[in-house]
Amino acid sequence: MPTLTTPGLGQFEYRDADVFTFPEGLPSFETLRFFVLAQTPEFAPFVFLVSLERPAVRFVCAPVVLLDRNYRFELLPGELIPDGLEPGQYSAASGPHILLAILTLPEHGPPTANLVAPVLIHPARRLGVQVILGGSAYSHVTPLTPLSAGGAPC
Amino acid sequence: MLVFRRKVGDGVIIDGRIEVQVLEVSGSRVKLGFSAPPEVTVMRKELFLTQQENRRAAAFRATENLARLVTVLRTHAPEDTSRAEPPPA
Repeated sequence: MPTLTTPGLGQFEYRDADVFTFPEGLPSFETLRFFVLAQTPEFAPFVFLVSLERPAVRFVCAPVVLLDRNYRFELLPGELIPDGLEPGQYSAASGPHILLAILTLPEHGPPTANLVAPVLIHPARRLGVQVILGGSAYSHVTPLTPLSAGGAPC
Repeated sequence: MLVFRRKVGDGVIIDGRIEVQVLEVSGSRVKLGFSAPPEVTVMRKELFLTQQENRRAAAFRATENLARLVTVLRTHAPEDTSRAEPPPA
């Protein structure tokens, strides 16, 4: 099996089925179109999103359902809908897709999750999209409880 | 923050070269039009914040913070974790 070596996460094997196409890349990384979704028992339930084209670009993600079981959003017809997605309701707790939140892990200060822009993974299509939500229902720097409730900073 | 009340068709000029015009109002939604020189970037705020946050997120350095986070997240995860992992392809 092919392997990827990425800073801070080491080396891991991956299968073709672990590779997802991101037709629009990710904001700030628009030219990177192929990402490996990797997870290890050591770091479960976190999932790593690692660029196949540039493995130094990698993200730690958490399943949104673990952060907010009721998380949901709607893509309306006539609005900016990413390629590969249809208008409709998307929920963290149900559906064929997986919603991940990219985590920011600063050297100083609490870790946060970007719930304004969930990464939607469609396993059957091997497709990934970071959906940018309008409105103010969620925050791009949502604290990861209970660290935000006075726990020791990471 | 500078606040103006505008009607449909009204505009605002920024720095003498950027125009924002109210094109349509429908319920709680406003359609705005922007005219700006090519070197000026105009984007939705949430996209700008996500660009910024993705750069910050990709810059994390070590895994010891992650190990501690794993412990905390596992302690507080809901009982049903059936959707915690992507289904096998």
